[in-house]
Amino acid sequence: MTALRHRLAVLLTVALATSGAAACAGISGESESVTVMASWDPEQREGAAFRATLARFTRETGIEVRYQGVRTITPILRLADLGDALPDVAVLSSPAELARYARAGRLVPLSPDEAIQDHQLLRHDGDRRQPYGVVLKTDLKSLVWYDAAAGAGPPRTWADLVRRGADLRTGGRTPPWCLGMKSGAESGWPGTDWVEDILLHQSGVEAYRRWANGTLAWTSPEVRSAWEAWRELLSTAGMTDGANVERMLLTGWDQAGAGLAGGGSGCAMEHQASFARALHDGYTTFFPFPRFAPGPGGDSTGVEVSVDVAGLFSGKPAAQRLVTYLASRAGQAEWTAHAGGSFFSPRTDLDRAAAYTSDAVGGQIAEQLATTAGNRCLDASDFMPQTVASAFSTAVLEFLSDPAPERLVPILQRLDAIRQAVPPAEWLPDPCPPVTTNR
Amino acid sequence: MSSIARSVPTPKMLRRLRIALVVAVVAMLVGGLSTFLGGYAAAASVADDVVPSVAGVSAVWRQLRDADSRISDCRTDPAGGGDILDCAGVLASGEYRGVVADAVQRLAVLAERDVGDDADRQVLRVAQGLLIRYLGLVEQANLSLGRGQGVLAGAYLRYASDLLHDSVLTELDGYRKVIDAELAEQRDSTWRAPASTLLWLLPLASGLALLVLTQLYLAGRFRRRLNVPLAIATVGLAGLGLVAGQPVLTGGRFASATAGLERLVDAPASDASQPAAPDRRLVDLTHAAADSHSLQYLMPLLALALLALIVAGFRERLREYEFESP
Repeated sequence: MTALRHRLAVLLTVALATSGAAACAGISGESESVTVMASWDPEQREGAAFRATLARFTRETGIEVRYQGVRTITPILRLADLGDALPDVAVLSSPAELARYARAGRLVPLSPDEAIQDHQLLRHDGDRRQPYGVVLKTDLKSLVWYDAAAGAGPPRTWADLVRRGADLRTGGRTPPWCLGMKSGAESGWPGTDWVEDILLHQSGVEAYRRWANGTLAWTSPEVRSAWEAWRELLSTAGMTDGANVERMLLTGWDQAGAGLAGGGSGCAMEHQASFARALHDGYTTFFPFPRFAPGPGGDSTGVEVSVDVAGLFSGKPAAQRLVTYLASRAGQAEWTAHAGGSFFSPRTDLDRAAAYTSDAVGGQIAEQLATTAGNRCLDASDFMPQTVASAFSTAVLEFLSDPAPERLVPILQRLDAIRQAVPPAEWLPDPCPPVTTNR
Repeated sequence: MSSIARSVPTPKMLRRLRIALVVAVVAMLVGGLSTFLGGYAAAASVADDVVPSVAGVSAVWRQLRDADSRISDCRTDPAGGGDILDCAGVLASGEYRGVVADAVQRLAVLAERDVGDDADRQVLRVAQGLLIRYLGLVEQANLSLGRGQGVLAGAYLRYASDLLHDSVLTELDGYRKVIDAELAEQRDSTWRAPASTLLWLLPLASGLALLVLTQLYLAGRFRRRLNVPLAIATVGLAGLGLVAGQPVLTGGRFASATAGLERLVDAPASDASQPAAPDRRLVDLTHAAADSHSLQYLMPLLALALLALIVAGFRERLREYEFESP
């Protein structure tokens, strides 16, 4: 009988130990996994680099990360929100969209961490408010890529740039500009980048700030002047002819510069951000967006950048840990190492020389981002409320489909009506925040 | 057995045999019921979730592609200076709104099916989100057409069509892989694995062997030809085995159903060859494979009857030793 009791006790202990271990494994497995949604296609260079960085995080921490890369992340995230199926972390290119989730109480406040630099944190209202997002990636937008074989060096002024388009056309490069508006449901955004960059360089940082935060009318001389300057550039280069209009509208943004460095008779210049380097290897020579002759604002020192911002949608410690790692110096160095020159860090303390040791072009872009850290302005359409940003893209397409001078004013009036209809609370205050280099 | 039987006192031996038979029947019931329910649950999952999912994806794909091809057929009218589309009626009818709304609803229903996990079903949310963007682009085309901007309307239609083919249908194709994985999981269900049959086959064999040995023992000890209750229990136990073995006996039907579905799900999908829905024969086959005829309720009843027969079979013999000291 004693032996029987002993056996039963052993069996019970084994059973309890087994079920206990299984339960613990289940619990720990649940808390130690994180879901991340971002717009980088896992099959493309940017997505692969991001996944490699996530893999490093998993190796170091044991926390599993499930990544979902969806190009049209904005509507999909909204749908996930409705279905109560938000990921733990989402990386968006639109600070305005992330701020919308913050206002709705969907974001978990980020805990301060020394591994994150102050200027990586996005706040609603300066330092007084809790940060709602962490900038993980930055790209320089005030760039013009060009085919070095096409002629003279970089234009120094806007007038030179306009003339260069005409010269290239005369020289047989038709169309001179690589311009593709097609981008699925977001079609038109490459054109918004043009208008933004022109406005920033023509009318200065203050006008840009007021326009992006909704206090400068679309019908103002500054905004109208930017659109008109763009039309002048396009028409001088023959881009507004019927066949080229259709080409601009129907060419994919990621295909527009496919033959940029190939010489021949194709397009020879493209206004595109530094992330274009992830598309193909043809992006080898660039010049900064040229200065205007003193315009209404006089201050043309600003540069336009785009950012990818992470928001925390769950209170899981593992999710906070992941965001901190991705924003940290170690995480950013890892990301840079995998990106093949298509990743640029928002941090100011990264060893750029080491990061781009075998990539001169990447090094130049990183250097330019660092030297212009004090006067960066975020992409205005990413900074504006989604309604205005969508209308802006649509307006670009409408403008390009028939760039007759008389069509511009109604387009701008319509945009301004939308601006006025958006509640003030939905506008973010400062697209050109100061960058501190204290940490 | 004989040496043990000789050395162990008869009443003790009878009690031991009774306990062994009870254990064998209970083990048979537990093992048989588990494999039976598990096996049919896999088949039910295929019939109730996989088949409607395959049909749903096929229906959504077909209706979207058909509607889009009518829109994509729109061409700029050269006689109108490129400003008028010859299919304004297709857009003006607003048919695409109904098609997209229907597709979004169908995807929502699909997402409720127990196929894949939450993360797998995220693909359907992506497709829903993209469809809403698709609708937005076609609406823009309609609006542009109304403003006399034919070139712009044509561009929007191209964006919409490209979005549908490059993204929405791609996501749906991705969901077909999720269905395929679910189908494979059910096909390879542990409860349908040959090794699982041992869960009831071993107790069955042990029970039958014990019943035969008990008959021999009783015949030797009590000079009786046959213990009738135990003889009936032997037949009953074989019957219980027959019920428990139903998933195995009808396994061919299940295998044919899953193979047919796999052919549909694995077939590459494109504009030329759209994903097909299961035909009536295949649907019937999957439902037949999932039909347990409620035999799971018979098994406990049969087991109870067996236990009663076993108790009854030993009762008279044990009563003969009632006044002996144990």
